[in-house]
Order: sequence, then C-alpha cells, then structure tokens
Amino acid sequence: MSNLTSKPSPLSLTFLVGHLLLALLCLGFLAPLGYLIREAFLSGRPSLISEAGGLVFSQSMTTLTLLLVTVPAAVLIGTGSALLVSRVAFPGRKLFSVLLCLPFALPPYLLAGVARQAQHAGWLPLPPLENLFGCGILLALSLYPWVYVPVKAQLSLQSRQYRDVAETLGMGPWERFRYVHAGLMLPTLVVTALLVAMEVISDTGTVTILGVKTLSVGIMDAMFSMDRADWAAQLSLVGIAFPVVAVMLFALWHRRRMEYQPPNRPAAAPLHVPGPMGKVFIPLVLAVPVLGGFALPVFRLGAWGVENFGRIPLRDLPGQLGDTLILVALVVVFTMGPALGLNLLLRWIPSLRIWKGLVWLMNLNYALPGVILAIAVLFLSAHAPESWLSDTVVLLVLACVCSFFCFPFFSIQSGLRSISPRLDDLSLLLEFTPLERVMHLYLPLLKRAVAGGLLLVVVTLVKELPLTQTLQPFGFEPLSLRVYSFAGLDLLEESALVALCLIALVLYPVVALDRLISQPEGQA
Amino acid sequence: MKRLVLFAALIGIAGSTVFGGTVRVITDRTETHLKPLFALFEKNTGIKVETIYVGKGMMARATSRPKEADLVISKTADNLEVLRQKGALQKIESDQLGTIRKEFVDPELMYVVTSYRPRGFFYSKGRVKPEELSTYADLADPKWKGRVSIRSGYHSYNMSLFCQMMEAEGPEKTRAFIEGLKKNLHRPPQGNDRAQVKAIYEEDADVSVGNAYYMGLMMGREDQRPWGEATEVFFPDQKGEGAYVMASGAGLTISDRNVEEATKLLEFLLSDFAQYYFATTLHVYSVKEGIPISEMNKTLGNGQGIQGGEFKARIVPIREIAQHREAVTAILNDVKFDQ
Repeated sequence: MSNLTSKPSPLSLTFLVGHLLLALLCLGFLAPLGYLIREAFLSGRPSLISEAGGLVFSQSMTTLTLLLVTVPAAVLIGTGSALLVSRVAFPGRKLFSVLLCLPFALPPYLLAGVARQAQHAGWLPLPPLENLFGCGILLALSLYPWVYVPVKAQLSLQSRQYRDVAETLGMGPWERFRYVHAGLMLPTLVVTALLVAMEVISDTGTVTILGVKTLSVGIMDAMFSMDRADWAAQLSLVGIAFPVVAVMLFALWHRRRMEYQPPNRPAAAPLHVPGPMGKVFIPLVLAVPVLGGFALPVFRLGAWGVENFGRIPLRDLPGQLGDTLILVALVVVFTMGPALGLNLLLRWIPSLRIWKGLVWLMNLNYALPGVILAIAVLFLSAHAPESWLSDTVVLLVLACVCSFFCFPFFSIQSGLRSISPRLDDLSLLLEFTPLERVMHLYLPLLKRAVAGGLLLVVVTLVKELPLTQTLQPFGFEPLSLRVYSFAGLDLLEESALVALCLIALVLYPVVALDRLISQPEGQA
Repeated sequence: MKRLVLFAALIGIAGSTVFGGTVRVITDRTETHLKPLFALFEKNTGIKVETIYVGKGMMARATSRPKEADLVISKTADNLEVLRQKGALQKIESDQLGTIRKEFVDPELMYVVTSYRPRGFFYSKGRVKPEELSTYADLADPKWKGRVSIRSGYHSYNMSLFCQMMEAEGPEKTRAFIEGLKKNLHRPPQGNDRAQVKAIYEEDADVSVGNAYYMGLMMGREDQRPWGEATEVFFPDQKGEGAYVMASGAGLTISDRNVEEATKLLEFLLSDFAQYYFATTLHVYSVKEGIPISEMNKTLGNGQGIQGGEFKARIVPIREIAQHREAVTAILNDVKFDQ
C-alpha cells in the first residue's frame, strides 16, 4: 500500500473516527456471541457437559453424521455436474448449466415438506426420509448449488494453457485432473464444502420436519422445553466449533500456498466430446438433481396450487410478498453499506488491521444457529423501547444484518483485492474526496463484487426462517413463515401458491447469481 | 343438542356489542386452529386481533417482552405457569371464569385452561388386544420390549406428561416409568406424535404415546387416514386415577394497553361457541360442562369399553407441573432417553 493512502497521523481525525467506527461495529456484531459466552459460562448452574454429556455427544455425533452424509453428497453432485457442464459437450449442456442452479431457489425445509408429504401419500416410491440418511440426501439436493456455482466459475478460469502445459509434460487425462484441475479447484471446494456444512449445522426447519436430532434441535429443546438458556448457549458454542475448526485448518493448510488467477480472460478449455452412450447418459444423470431438488417439488406444488385455486383465499399474499420485499430491501441496504464502508476503512487505514481478527470473528454470526441468534438479540434488546420489537422490523433487520453480513463483506473484500493500490494514489493526487473515490473509483470497479454479495443476501434472506419466526413484529408475515408453518403440519397444499411465489421471487436472483459468478468479467 | 348450543352461541355473538380497538396475541398454537375464531371475533366485536404465531420462540418473546402482547395463548398451559412465576401475567377479571370447571382455572385467576386432550396410547388393531394395555406404568413392562414408539422426551408434551407423573405419583415411579419406557422403545425417539402412529402402521412398533386428538386429525386427511385406520386409541389407567391430559390455556400479559379487549377475546375463547368449535373441529375436550364431544372422539376407547369418548381424566393442577421440569430433565439425561 502506498504512503499516500496508508498513514494518517495517530492523532488525526480520520484515524480516530476509523478506530471508533470499527470498535462500534465490532461491539454490535459481537454482542450476540458475547451473550452466548456469558450465558454458557457465567450462569452459575451446572454445565450441560456435566449433567448430560451423553446428550451433547449424541447430538454432536448426529450432526457430524449428517455432515458426513450431506457435505460429500453435495460436493459430489456440485463438482460432478460442474465438471460435466464445463468440460463435456453433450446435448442441452447450456440449458443444464442453468437448470442445475435452480434448487438454490427452493428452501431446504420446503423440499423436505414436499418430499415427506409425497412419501406419505405414496405419490412417489421414495425410501423412508425421516432418518439421518434421508435428511442428508434431501439437504444435499438443496445445498449442492453452493458447490456447483463456484466450482463452475473456478473451472471457467482454468484456461486451455493449463491443459497444453500438462500435455507437454506428458500427463494423461487422470494425471491432468489430479495434479492440475483438482489442485486448482481444491480451495474453492473446501470453502464451498464449509458453507454447506454451516448451512447444515444451523438448519432447524428440515431437521425438525424430518425428526433428526442435531445440535440445532438440541438448542431448541434446551431453550424451549427445558428452559435452560445456558445449555442452549453451550450447545451453540459446540455447533460453532465445527466451522471454526474447519476454517482454521483450512487457513493453516492454505497459508503457504500461492493462488494463481489468470490476469486476463483465459482462453476457454476445449470440450471433451463423449461417445453416443455418453451423450444420452450424461443428460440423464444431470436430470436427477434438477428433478429431485427442483422440478418435482415445484410440479407437486403447482398441482396443489391448481387443485386449491379459489378454495384457499389469497388475500394475504400481497401483504406477505410486501413484507418479504421490505425485509430484503432493508437488510440489503444495512449489510451492503457497512460491508463496503468497513472494507474501505481497512484498505485506507492500515493501522485498523489490528481489528482484523475481530472482524473475522464477527462474520462467524452466520455460523450461529438462527434460533440462538434471535434469542440473543431478543434478550440483548430487553431494555430497548417496547415498540421497537412489537411495532417495527428493527430487531429482525438487525439480526438478519448480523447473520448475513459475511456475504457482502467477503465478496467486496475479494473485489477490492483486485483493485490496484495505485488507483488510490491517483485518486488522492486528483484530490478526490472519500465520497468521490467511492462513487467514481471503487463502485464502478466493484460492481460485480457488490452484485454478488447483494444477490447472495437476497437468495438466502427470502428463504430465511428461524430469525423471522422468533423476531417477527406484529402484522408482519413474510412468505417463508407462511410456507414453513404449513410444511411442518404436512399441509403444504394449503400454502402451495405462497410457496411458488417464494420460489418465483428467488428464481431470478439465483439465475443472475449463477451468471455473475460463472461468466468472466465483462460478460456477466 | 349440538345445534342448540351453536344456535344459542350465535345468538349470543350476534347480540353482542361492537367495540372496536385492537388486541395483540402471542401464541405457540397452530394458526389454522385459531384464525377462524379470531376472524369471527373481529367481525362481531370490531376489535382487531393482531397475532404472531411464534412457535417455539413464544416463551423467549413473552419473558423478554412481557408487555408487547395483551394475551398469551399456549398449547401447553404449563408455559403459562412459568410466565406467572416470572411476573409476566396479570389477574383476569371476568365472570366467564365462573362457568369453567374449577380445576381449569388458576387459583389466583392468572390464567385459564381453554381446552384439553388426553395423552394416551395408540395401539395396533391387528397386533395388540386392548386387554393387554392398562396403565402408563405398564408400558414400561419388559413385555413391550422393542414395541413402543414415542417422540422426543424433551418435547413439551412429554415433559408435561412426565412432570404430571412426578407430581401425582412421585419421583421414584416416574423414574422407573421413564427408564422402562426407554428400554422398550423400538428406536430412539424421533418425529412427532403422528410419526409414531405411522410407525405402528408400518409395523415397526405396536404401541405409541400420543395426544388422542391426532386420531381425528389423521382421519381427516387422505394421506394419513390409513395410519389412523390401522390403530385405535387407548385411555390409560381408566380403572385407577385416569389418563393424564395436556391442557391449552390463555392468560393476560402485564400490558395495560388493551386489557378490556384482551379480556373480551379471552371470554370469547371460553364462550360456548368457541368451546364447541374447539371440541368439534380440533377434537379436543371442552373445559365447560355441556359442550358435546366430537363424533370422532366418541369412537375413541371403544375397544376398551369406553362409550361416547367419555374417559376418566387425571387433572394435575397446572401450578404443580412446571416445578418438576428440572428434575424430569435430569432423569431424561440420566437414562439417555433421546439417544
């Protein structure tokens, strides 16, 4: 970083304001974690480990087993399909490239609800789903796009030159895959697998519908059935330990590795042309996740919607849609703004990097099960004016911002890394004000990163459940709440049209996100 | 009789005064169970009912913000006792409470039970004879090894059942029951009450513990009717003290904004009309004398010789139930009930 941007005097206003802002931001974002730690260790009551260590062990093992089913399955489906659509020329390749990301639009609890009802009614010859394996497979069908989209993007960055160099070195197809493509994909695979793992750990809807007792169910039991907030907090910390350990191991492993990204748009790698059997077989294989994770559930919901059209009043639907859009708009504004501001502060004032650890820690809120984050926010705001909670969406928005801040933060951070520090110097020489720098320099260059973070927030927020369920103010009911309340009762036919509306709302952002991530800069 | 009650109730409602205003309700009950009643209440009184269906988070909301709602309605009345102990409820002043059976009204009028349902057994019609069943304690007998199914021990229904047992029969018997029950389970507890009945239908289990009203709900659904048809409801301990019941209830919060409106809504829930609605559409039992039992519930317990669905209930005072939660949790943890 150059001198021009990096060294405000320790007594300068920028320096002080920067530190103060960061301190406030960290304090706000880390408050839920602080509440958890206080509840977990300072309640003065016997710990869960000493009273029911077996229960913690059992729920941890169930969570671990669910992770061991879901994560490899999601990685396998996501990577396999990404490789096929990126590297093999088969009929309908471009169509499948888009279709495969559609399950992202379906909330996992909705898929679980439809599948359970379909199985009960015998519409589909499904194996029993109300067990760990069934739950894991359904979660994998719902979550594999977390792997598919980024891996496809990573593959699009692997240029033809890699293949040529590997061939020059005498590598066969398997060696090329193992030493070149897999090596380049590995960081993306690890990160996306971690995201899938975090989704599994914090899931409450699917596991509740399918009766699988993970840590998140244990947290709800401790909190709501046993009235033991301290145990719920202790279980939450065990839950967070999974992703924290995984992130640390990944960071250690990744520390000494160089990452190479081609500076310019790479020449596309040639497509492998399969034989006649392959041309038939590949579309059939790829149709499985699309059918299971999207088409069949949507078809079933559509059939229910048609059957019940006119019978179920839809007068609440515009209000539910409006509530969803209001929530999304507010959360987008209050995540994107601070995420951009925080990243710029860290870029402009290098001394602020002493906060880096805390900033990383505050992004862990995403790994907190929604239900415990909601309760933390509830109790932390106990002294706020009563009307804050009951009349406005303030608390709900705050909780959502806490939870989803990591998406725009990391997206913008990654975007800023690709902007040369010399541009900062240039803007200073041109005597740009900070606002002008943001408007005329960063935002045009960060369009893609900002859009990526924004779309991720939209896609995850529209489907969000536990925060909304616990913190909804009076007269506020977004689509996800309506859908889940009926899914839990095996009455999805009553809310089929609402569910379809929710899916339709997420569909465009999902496809846009896929295009944005998968296509090289300038084309998206 | 039913028509008479309905007619009388409708006349009563039609003749009631239109008030206006708002009442805020927080509840963990299912939306479809309450919404039709609230709509009718709004129509007849002009009082707007704003409701949030919080599910499991209700207690966290009601304890952290006791004044945000005017009325709390819970599917497990034990929760209302917890709220009373935390100072979140105020005394109900209504003549309607006098029409409710005394055992369903809090001694200090802090909350009231609005309906109840027995927590009994579902048994396989083909593989179990009703004579083989008797008391709750009998379900812990080794003869049922690998044949019993139940949802999580920590679920509020089972917690309430065990707490009532603790109060009525003492800690030793409760512990013995929980331990024996655990040994007899065909699988670790999972799913809801209906999932246990499904296990009987699929011949994985022979007996399950569940709320009797699920029979009515299952029979009303095409996809679940086979589960109901494969089973029958048994009311335990009919030769002894009677079957334990799960009570739903309501109480006024300490909010002072809409006390009058909230009291009116509570009175409406206790009216003959609402009680008739609860009994006939949700297949629960009324807390008032003279409200008929649903046609569906009249068939329950036929196999054991009960006619008209009139079973013997063992009513444990709500005030005494919640205090045993910690002790019951300790037993469940000890015996690794959910593992």
